[in-house]
Amino acid sequence: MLGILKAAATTVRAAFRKPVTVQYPSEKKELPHRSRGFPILLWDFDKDESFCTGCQVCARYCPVDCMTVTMKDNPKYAEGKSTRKKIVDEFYIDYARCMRCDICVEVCNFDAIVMNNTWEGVELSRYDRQDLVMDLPALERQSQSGELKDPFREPMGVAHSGWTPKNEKEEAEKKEGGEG
Amino acid sequence: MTVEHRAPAEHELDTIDININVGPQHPATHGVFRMVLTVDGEVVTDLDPVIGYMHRGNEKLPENCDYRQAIGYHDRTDYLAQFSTEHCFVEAVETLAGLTAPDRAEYIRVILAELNRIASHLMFFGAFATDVGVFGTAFMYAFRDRETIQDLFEEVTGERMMYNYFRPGGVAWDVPDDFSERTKQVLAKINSGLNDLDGLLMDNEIVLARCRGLGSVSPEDAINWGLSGPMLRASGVQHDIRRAEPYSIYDRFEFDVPTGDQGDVFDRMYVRLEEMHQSVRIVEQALAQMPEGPIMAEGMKRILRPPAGEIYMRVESPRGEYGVYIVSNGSDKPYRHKVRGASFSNLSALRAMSIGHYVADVIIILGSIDIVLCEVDR
Amino acid sequence: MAEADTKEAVEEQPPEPGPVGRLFQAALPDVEFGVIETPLNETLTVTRDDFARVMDAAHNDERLSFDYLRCLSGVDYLTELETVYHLYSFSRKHTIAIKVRCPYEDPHVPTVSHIWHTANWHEREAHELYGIVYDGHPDLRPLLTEEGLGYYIMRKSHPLAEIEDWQEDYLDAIQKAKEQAAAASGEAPPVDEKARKIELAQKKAQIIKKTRDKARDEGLSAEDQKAAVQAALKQFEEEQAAADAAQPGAAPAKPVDERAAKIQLAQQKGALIKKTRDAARAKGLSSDEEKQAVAEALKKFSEEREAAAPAPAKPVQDRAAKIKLAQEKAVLIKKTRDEARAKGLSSDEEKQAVSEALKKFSEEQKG
Repeated sequence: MLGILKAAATTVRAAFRKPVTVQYPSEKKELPHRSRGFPILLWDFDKDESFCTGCQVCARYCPVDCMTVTMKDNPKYAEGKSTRKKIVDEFYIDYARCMRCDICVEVCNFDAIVMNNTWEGVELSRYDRQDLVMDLPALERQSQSGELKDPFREPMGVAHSGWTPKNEKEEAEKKEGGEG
Repeated sequence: MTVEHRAPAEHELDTIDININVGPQHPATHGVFRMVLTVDGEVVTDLDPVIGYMHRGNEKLPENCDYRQAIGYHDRTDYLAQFSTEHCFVEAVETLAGLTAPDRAEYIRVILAELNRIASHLMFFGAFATDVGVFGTAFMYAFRDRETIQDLFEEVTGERMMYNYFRPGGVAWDVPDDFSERTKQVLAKINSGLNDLDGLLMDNEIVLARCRGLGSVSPEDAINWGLSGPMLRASGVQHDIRRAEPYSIYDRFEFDVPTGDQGDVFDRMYVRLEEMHQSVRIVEQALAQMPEGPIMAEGMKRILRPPAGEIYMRVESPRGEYGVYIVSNGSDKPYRHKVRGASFSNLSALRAMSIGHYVADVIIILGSIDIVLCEVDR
Repeated sequence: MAEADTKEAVEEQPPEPGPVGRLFQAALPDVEFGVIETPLNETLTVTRDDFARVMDAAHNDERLSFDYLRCLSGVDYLTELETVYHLYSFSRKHTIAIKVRCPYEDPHVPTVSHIWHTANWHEREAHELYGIVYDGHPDLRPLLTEEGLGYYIMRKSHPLAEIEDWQEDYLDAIQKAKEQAAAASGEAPPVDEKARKIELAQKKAQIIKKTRDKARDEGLSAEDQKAAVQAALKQFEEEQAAADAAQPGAAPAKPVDERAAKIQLAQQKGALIKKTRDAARAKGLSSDEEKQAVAEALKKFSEEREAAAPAPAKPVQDRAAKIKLAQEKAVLIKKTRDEARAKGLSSDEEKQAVSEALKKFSEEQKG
């Protein structure tokens, strides 16, 4: 009998606590900065083009093969407006297949891809599975329009060991040389 | 007119056993698990567990992935103890490749794995209390506290379920600056939540009446059946891999290994509650000891190629012994990748535990195993 | 220098058994154990003939007393299948791994499920995934996969299907369904620009990969590799352009799915066979007569089909017109019935009146 009373006392005490839930669609919890939505591409505002060069390293490391990437010669390089010789031509990510493992972000040499940390990165529902295959404009839109304000781009994984990707090094040297 | 009374002939009194099919889509089976019960009246005389509905080839797929890609598949074997599974895999790969993770990474791993153990046991209490008949209330209490842990995990890793955060050689990125304070807040909430569960369940006459003396397993049987984790300790075998064969840095912490004495369903519940208190102790010690420093081993290559060899690595996951057997042939992909799920062996003892009990009690016995079907089927 | 020499010397010798391995040697002096060096535990290999004795001793010998089977794994070594047993002793606190191999053609190993109960499920699993037969196991039904699968999925000879394989099948199925729907509604099939682009990009990526791999194998320099890739891409684009020119505009609408029609036909036939056979059985015909009846029915069915096939398709009425007709009929029925009721006719007479009215209506329609 005492045990039952003890249990009852526990429930009564809980009745006076503040609720811990929020009314979701009308009220949204703040997502943490590191929140991992689906991957999207970043936009280079300085050169007015994508960071992505279409080097396919993300597609090769993807455990579930959800990406298709091709590259082309950068027309802006010929005009002398950009330092990127190559640039992404087409980029498809099948969000229905992606498992949000973050490996593409980790292996990217150009910091061109990030996991979306806005609510749009997780609230995806479509009537047709085919519509979950995102193409280049759809992947670039959020960053290009400025909706994606503060993506999580901490140097991670391999970068911590002090090992810098070759391309990054070259770019940094180039930059320094260009400025100097 | 007289009614003739005669004794019924023998064949008229014969009863036949009935087969009852429970699952695979049944709320009491905790996933897609099916069991065919043979009942005599209301007493179970035979039980045939049917598994495999969740078989996705989780051993075959990593054999076609490199070592980093395979981590994601470990999250998906035991989806309630993801950090334990990742911990097992990365420790195995590190031992195989001769890597040593820096101290800070090991502390981060231990803290997260222990918090994950608490979250998993809370999930057990929520689901199990619902099986026993404490509808809703205990479930809500347990999930309220589990939510705080999940929020912390999301702040650290960015994901709520499939973290993919540990890497061979360390962890993917450092914890946030306020990690220590946030963890302490979470621990305070867990402590009050554990008191709630204690008050609600452990002295409750209804729970006691339903759980005491049910599904008892003797220590010899428990060992022979390959039980592990809380199931084994409830039978009185004081065995915890963290203590018996310390992996990672578990030899640096003080904690007790709680045991039961009867091996029944109540003892399993009791052991899990005590384990959560011990996990809180470990996390507190780890937070106090955690050093600053790098979180990734020096000189890591982009593609890891461990030398040819093999290893069986085991950790104490919330459900028991989670093991990974890896055979490497020197390439970047494991040649053989076997997962020993704790629930798999624990579940195989279900038949022996349930025979002779009522149908309603078999549901409780099944709940007390705390199965995760993804780990059983892989 | 001296250190390096000793190291080499050690490597040449077979590894020595550790403390637990020596216990095994002491318990079974006549058995030859192979030793493999592995981290965390010692590993012994035994032959299949000695295996049952070794496992028996491992459990029952006082010095060994391995009472706990942690893990049992099958491994496929292409010519041989191996089973690995990881054992633990609660009383002695030591571990060992024991390996036994069996050839592919004769995959039999004695069971240990009578020693450790937990081996029961583990052996069932290894049996269905690798095809290793554990002699003496009480119940070797498959555990995870369906019964009668016929192949062993974890063997290396059973490759993991490329994700593209089923994905392409799926995409093809969607495309076909869309085309059919379009053909049924009489519209031209929409050209899926996006799908086409994806396909093209995938093909390009494949060509790049293939060419590069080939160039690397040939040992070309980076510049030459690039040139080779460029050339291959150019060739591919030209081929594409030629193909596009040969097939102007959208692909012609495909006819009705033949496969679906075939399946439907087979289903109809199956139903017919079943019906005829049931009827024959009900009549009590002999099995020969039954067979004949079925054959006749099938013949009749195919003749009927052939007769029906060349007949011109019935003019399809517009859906809207059909609905309108039905509505008119319904109004007529209601009207006639109400009139009949007002006259006080019986229900039979009422029905007759309605059917007469309907007949008249349809005659008017035809006229």
